[in-house]
Amino acid sequence: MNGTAPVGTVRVEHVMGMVVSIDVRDLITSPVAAAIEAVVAWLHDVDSRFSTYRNDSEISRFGLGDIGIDELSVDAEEVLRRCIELTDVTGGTFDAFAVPSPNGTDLDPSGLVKGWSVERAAGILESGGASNFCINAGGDIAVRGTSQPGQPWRIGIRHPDHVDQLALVLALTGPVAVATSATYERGAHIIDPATGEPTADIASATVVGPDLGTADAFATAVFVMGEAGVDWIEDQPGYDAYVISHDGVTRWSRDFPHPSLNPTWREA
Amino acid sequence: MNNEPQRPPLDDPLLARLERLSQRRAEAPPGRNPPPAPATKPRRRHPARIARLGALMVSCATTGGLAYLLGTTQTSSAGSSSLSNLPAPIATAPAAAATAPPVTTVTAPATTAPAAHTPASVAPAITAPATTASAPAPPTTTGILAFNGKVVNTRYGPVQVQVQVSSGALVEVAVVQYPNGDGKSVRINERALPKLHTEVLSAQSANVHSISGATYTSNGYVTSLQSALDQAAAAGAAVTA
Repeated sequence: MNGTAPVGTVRVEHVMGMVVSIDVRDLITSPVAAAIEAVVAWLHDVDSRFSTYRNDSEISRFGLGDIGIDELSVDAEEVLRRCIELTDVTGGTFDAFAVPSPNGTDLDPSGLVKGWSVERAAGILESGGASNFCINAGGDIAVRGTSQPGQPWRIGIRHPDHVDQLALVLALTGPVAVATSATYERGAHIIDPATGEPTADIASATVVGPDLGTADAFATAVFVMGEAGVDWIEDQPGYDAYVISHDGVTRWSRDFPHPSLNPTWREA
Repeated sequence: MNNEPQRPPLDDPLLARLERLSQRRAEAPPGRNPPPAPATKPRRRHPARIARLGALMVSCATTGGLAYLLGTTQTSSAGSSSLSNLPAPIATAPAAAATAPPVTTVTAPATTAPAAHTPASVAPAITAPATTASAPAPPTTTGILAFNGKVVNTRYGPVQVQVQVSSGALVEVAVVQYPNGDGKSVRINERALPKLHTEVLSAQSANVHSISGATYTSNGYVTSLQSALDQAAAAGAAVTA
């Protein structure tokens, strides 16, 4: 019925201080095209409300004490409450309320906001009729369906030391999310909430699981925990981790979709 | 006993944290919480270094595919391994990369165009650029298509990269615009490419679709690279069914 609709499109948007790449492999019908535009608008909306680089964002105003809880939007309250839940689950290694924020406060939920907003974006695309796409938000990825019929998405994990190399390529079929925490792009910015100091016991932590918001926060948590994070994540249903030490040794949790072990992990 | 007219009860964890935030604000001497330097002011890198970094980042896609094809030597079922057998970083040989002659031709095999996600009622779409009728390459079984990324204005000046695609696989990345000299084309990753070409010949899907890594910012060479890759993908996918 849409014989003239193009197959697939890639939309690249600079938003939230990073690049978001939306790679849709379905027929680009007008509802799908409209959904892509809605995703772009959504991400800019999230940026204006959740950026900790803007003192006038909702989150910054909340952190600065300009607005109270009852003035928060439903979205902001949801994000902040999820941050608290994640702090409990991660034993405090992810704590949006105890890390230095660019706005000068100790509130920075960005570690959840990015993944949370991309999951919402995936929902927008799905409601527009897309079912095979990959959204890459500055290195954190939400995947749906396949890259081509019967073909998984091939997701590379960057080597932490060598910018020209990948450590691993995962073959994944959605729905699944991949998030990586490391310091090679922006320096020692990952703070251990327990000490308030930057930490980098390991070089890179990647988490794979069903929800990108949680995966994003878990990647931060595992990075802070170091190699012990691989053991910790065994108790988090659906989530797996892959860590790279500073001397190039890799470790991964039991069900991590390592290509040498299980290339068809979680086929939908 | 709650004097607050607001909804949240006193044991509300969000309220508790809000109060802690305001306490810390009150206690904090001025300047106690400056943002960490990397968060607001990324360390200044040498322009050549950032260009090199970005260029090499692109080649993640190429060497990554290679790594995937070759990297299954890991046979242990234990969850640990070592990355030490990977090739040395190209970054150690920038001079050689900068002076290498450009690749002028690559022969790609005739390949079956991968089917797109289309309903059964729609004719199969051709997504491999090298075989599309509208592509600017000869519509034969050989050929490379080049896609220029958007020119990105970095703090060092405009940067633009080009990716070259053959039969749907990434075979080359080049810098076509540097901050210090427009139109300069430099090959990178010459060591990996010959091997990659071999792999491309034997498996045309050596590329990766996306790369997970530490969050990168939008002001950099990587942006331009991503833009080029995405343009290549878009061109490959933009064939009407």
